[in-house]
Amino acid sequence: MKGIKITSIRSKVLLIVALGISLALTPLLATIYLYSYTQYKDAYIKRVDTEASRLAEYMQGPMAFSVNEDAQTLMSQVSMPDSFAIVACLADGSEWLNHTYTRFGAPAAHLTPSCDQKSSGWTSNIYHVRQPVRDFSGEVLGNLSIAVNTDTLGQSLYRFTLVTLASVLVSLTLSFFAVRILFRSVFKPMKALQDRSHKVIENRDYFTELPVLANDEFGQLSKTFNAMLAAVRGHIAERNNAVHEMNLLANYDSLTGLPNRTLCMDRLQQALKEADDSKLHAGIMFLDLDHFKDVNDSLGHRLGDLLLVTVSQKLLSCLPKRATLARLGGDEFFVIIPDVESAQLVEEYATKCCQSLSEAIELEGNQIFTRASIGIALYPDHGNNAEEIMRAADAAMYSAKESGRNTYRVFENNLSQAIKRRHKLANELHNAIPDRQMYLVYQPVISLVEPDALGFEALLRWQHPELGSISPMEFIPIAESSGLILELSDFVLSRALEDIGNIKALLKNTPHFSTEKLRVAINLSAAQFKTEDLVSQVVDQASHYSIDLRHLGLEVTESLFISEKAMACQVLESLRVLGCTVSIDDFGTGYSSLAYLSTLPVDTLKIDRSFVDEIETSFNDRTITLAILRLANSLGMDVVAEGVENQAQLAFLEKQACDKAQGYFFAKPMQLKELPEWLASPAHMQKKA
Amino acid sequence: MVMLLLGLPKFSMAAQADRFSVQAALLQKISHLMAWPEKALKNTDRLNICVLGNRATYEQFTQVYRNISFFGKSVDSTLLDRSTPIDSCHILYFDTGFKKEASQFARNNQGKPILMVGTEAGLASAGVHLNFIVKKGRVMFELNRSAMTSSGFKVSPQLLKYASVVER
Repeated sequence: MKGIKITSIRSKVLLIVALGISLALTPLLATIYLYSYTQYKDAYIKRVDTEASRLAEYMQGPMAFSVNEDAQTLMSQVSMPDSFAIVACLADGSEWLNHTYTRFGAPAAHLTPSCDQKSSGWTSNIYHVRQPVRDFSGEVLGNLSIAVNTDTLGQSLYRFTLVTLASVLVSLTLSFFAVRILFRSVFKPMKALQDRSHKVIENRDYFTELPVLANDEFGQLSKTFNAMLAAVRGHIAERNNAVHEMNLLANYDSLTGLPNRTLCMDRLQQALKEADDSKLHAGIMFLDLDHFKDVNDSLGHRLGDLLLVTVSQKLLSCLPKRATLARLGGDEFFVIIPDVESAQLVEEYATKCCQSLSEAIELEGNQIFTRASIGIALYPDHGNNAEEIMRAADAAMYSAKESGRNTYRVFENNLSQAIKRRHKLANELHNAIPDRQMYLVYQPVISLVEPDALGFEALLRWQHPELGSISPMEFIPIAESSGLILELSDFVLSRALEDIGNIKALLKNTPHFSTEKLRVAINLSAAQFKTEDLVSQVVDQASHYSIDLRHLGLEVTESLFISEKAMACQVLESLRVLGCTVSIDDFGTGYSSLAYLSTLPVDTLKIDRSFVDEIETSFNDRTITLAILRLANSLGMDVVAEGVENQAQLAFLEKQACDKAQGYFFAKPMQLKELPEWLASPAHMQKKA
Repeated sequence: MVMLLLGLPKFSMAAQADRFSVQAALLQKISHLMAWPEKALKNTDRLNICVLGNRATYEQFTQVYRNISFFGKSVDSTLLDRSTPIDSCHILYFDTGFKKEASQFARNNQGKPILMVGTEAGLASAGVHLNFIVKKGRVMFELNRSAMTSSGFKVSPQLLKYASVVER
């Protein structure tokens, strides 16, 4: 059974108050009513009794002297509140006189008082009185029997009850309305709170505060509600900030503040649609900084980041306001120029960008020369959708790199082949080692001071079954970007150690060289130093092939000591202790400070081939080469000259007391199986002599 | 004054008895409306009526009052003579013909708790408490209120309505 549901607190409290008042008043009113009822009834009875008593007193004489007239007169003068009948009885019980009186129209016919009546009392609505008439000494002369029709009393009591109930009802009704009015006043703040809450829900209006209408609990509730609104506003502001921040993070590059790849794609789609609508073109530029990795490696990531910020600002200054410059990641930028009529305009912007970036950038005392390769593509000429147009710009950018960098190229259809090749290599590099497509070649390193000392630099080669020999210049960057560089490095280490044994065996049969002085050098990548187990890996592999680590040379670039100096020094020092020698490859092209060269665990400096190439004709290259030689000499390091290709270069180096030389003048890099023939040939000895 | 009128028979021996009966009836009714002094009837269960009259009428009186009781007490009657001690009487009844003696008795016994009842006109004024008189063939009675009061009798106001009140 469903009861009546009272949902508002005001109605509940009102009901409680009404019940409380009713419970409190009901016994009181009932008591008052019963008291009044009894009083009224008692007064009625008393009046009847008094009148009867008075009559009895007056009847003393007429009854004593039996004077009927007087008695009759007295009885007729009796005043009762209702119709009544009297019988005067003598002492012997006989009826003497009687009298009936009708009042207020109440019937009296049924009033039959009798001399047999023994006492006063009630019969239905008739009140009977038996009143003795006594003489002066108290002796009973006779009796009066009176019957009173108490209809009037009943009616009066009925009216009294009705009036009482009506009064109670009126009082309760008035109280109800008075309490209701009072409650409306008391609950006004609650109503305001309720209305305000609805507005908050419906309109999401968190800013209009609730007026504090009272100083009681409702007032406190209003204040608390306002505090809650303030807290909600705070949360909303926090959420909005978080959303804004998330939007920024989702769509903008945190370093440069430029749109990221996501937003870039969105803008690109927009630009393509606008181009469709306007029947114009959308110009796209794919921009990649040249050798940015070197900056990162040599100057550290912090300066690399600063450089990216500076570059982004420079690029922005070169582009029109309607253009979108986005950073796709690393050193890749993307430019969208909507509504262009031809590629010529885009080329003008690309030229401006190249020129601007070619200017030296000063960062914390370092002068950095950065370059950019830019690929240009035009929608819809070079692609029908965003993906195609990006691929086209990417291909054009690689074309620009291959063209010598610091320039731009507009997409041509044949460029897409380069992109396809790069993707093919990236995909197939994974299987190159398992499929035995990778192998090592060894280029001899000739000692110019020790006739019996011979070394080799192990170089990795990739013989692709379809594409033929792939240059390390092509696949190493792909390996670095795809994370396969570690796998390739492990392969080089393992294969070189294995081959050292073979080379030693070959040298045993060669009278000119000492196997004890054999050194085979491998190039270590920076990624290998980031693994924790390089030293143990070298030791384990050497142990596996039973190779003394004195035969192993390790070549690193200058940038390694700048980016990871402490760790690199620790690892290399450990390996030196085990017998390995350490060389700095391509020395002179990096950014290393000569001041801390003495603190590095390095045995040999390898002069970059670019200095050796022009050593005969370039004063600068000669000066640098000599400086490196003197520096190494003063630090007790050996020097290896790379890229020696003729006798004149060798002669100069020998004259300047260069320790070792390497280059096509002595031998090209060769496979292990070619070594015996080369060793057997006296040509290398003749060139050195 | 309210008068109580009772029929009066002719004066004869029989009439004499009727006269006594009427008076006795009246006296009996009157006794309902008055009270004796508190100590007067305290130690007796009989009421002594002393009669001042002749022996013949006394005999009639005795016959009438033999079966009557006043105030709940049986009545004894005594014919009054010189040797009768007055204080033994509770009621003194003065019969007709003894007006002079009755007046004297009334004077001599004023203030005593003895109800004096006369039967001749003027006795109430002489100090008799109650005096039965006949007017126009009707028996009436007079009541000397001051005598009543001085003798210690209490009288109901209702009685006063039926008596001829004498204030002397």
